[in-house]
Amino acid sequence: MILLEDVTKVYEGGIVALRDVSLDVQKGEFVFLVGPSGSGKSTLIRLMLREEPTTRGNIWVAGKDITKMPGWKVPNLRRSIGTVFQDFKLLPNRTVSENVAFALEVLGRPKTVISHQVAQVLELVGLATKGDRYPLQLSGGEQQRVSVARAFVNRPPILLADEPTGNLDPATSVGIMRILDRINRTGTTVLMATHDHAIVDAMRRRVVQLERGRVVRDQSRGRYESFRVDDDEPARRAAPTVEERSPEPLAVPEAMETADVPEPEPST
Amino acid sequence: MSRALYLIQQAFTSLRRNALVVAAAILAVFVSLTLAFGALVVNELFQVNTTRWQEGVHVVVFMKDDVSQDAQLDLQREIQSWDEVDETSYCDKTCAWLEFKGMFADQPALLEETDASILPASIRIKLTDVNYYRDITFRLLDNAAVRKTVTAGERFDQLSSISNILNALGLGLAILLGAASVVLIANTIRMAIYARRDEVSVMRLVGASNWFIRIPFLLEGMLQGLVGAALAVAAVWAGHSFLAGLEPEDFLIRLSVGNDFLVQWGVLILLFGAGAGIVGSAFGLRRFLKV
Ligand SMILES: Nc1ncnc2c1ncn2[C@@H]1O[C@H](COP(=O)(O)OP(=O)(O)OP(=O)(O)O)[C@@H](O)[C@H]1O
Ligand SMILES: [Mg+2]
Repeated sequence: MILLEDVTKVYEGGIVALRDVSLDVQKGEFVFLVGPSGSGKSTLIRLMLREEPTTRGNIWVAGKDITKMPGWKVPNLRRSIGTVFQDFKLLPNRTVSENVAFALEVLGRPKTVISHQVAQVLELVGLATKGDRYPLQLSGGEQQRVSVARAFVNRPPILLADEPTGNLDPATSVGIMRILDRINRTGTTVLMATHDHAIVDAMRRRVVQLERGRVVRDQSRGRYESFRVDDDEPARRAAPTVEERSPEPLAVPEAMETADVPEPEPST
Repeated sequence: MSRALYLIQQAFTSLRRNALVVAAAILAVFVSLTLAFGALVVNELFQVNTTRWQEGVHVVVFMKDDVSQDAQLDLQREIQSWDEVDETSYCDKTCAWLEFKGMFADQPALLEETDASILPASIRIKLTDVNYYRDITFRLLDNAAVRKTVTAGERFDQLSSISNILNALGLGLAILLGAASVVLIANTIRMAIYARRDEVSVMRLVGASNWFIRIPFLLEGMLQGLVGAALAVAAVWAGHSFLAGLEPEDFLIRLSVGNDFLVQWGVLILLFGAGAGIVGSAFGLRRFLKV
């Protein structure tokens, strides 16, 4: 679904945000992107959305190399990717329903389809009764659920989330994660950048760790911290203290071994 | 359908929000196109009159009624012998009445009231060079048989200088203001983008096509250009009607151009205004909305 081949991103001014990042995310996977502040998580997401050009390397999304995609096709790419951010990005002068519907309106969907799909997705995120409220009349957790609803209302095959629980308390975060998990179970590929230890540790999904722009760990059913002994996958573990300091990934799970297959899966 | 409505609605909402800058932009378009259109009309007037003036009758000498026809014909012969004169023709009282009837055929009441005998006989003079009109008029000034001489010369000279001024100054200013209006429109579009930046960023995020994002802004700029141009056309139209009302009754000079001319150029001016608006918003979009 998503394939990165030796992706390097150098910002203007020479800041190297990503160095030779390779990553293969299969359809329907749930991947946590972890790493300290400034390690390049948000940059990776921006590259996948083509909000920033890639300096070197290739990024394949749903079978297309988006680094070579002409500009006029980018909107189409973004339609196949739902996005959720820490700051919700809701429009304050529109109601919950209107915010969600907006995502379909700008794509020119007919009104009847819109109202049907909006109702359905609001049900999914548990806001069926709050469609007429304005964002400021909602709690932070509810606002984030609106934003998730908007990201998913078009049923994109991919959902990218950049610290979706960053502004939320732990209990509320769990609610959001339940929804993301539910969305993932419908077959949607989810990639989520986070600093939230508790969530990563509780969900036990694939964890990709970045450090100074490099992938230093890629582990299925991982935890947030790499040095904690993982009972499920003892064979994949190196000495934790070494791994912490090493710039190179020491654990190579199956997901990465398939990454040298040049042809990505055909888009569905 | 609802989508088109949304786009138009966006354009209007945005225009209201930036009323002041929008007003400035429209004003610039208005003044610029008024000058341009006005210069065009005056230029056309000048052209029309040049041809009429050069090909037509240059001086008309009206005779006193108490002078005998023979004396009048003598005068015509004398005038004909002058070097500056190319042709002369004589129009007696009957001829004058026929002309008068032809001119006011659509006003029977006027014809009814007019006493044919008050219309004077006249000698029409065509000069070898139109610039001699002053000499001829002067020479006939104290002729006892002449009631009055009429010539379009002064008015023509006035028109010619107005036309020259408008062509040079007016068009120069129009171009300058035209450029200013494009910049002003670009600025209103920049403000509109800024006011709607959240919406625009969400639209980009959910994959709205580039044109869908741009169209409201282009419409907004086009509307400003169109309104400015419409005001300019209205102003020139009004000015033209006013001038046409001042058209002298001897018809030696025309102060109105044809309706065809006004309509054709009016439409072009409207298109030009809309085009300038689109160019302005394209500038605004290019600099501030990297999609
Ligand atoms: N637009 C930009 N221009 C220049 N440098 C940038 C830009 N955006 C990010 N960077 C730099 O790139 C590096 C990676 O930033 P990025 O935002 O991807 O980190 P992150 O992992 O998301 O951090 P955080 O956890 O704090 O969100 C940082 O050094 C940052 O300063
Ligand atoms: Mg970040």
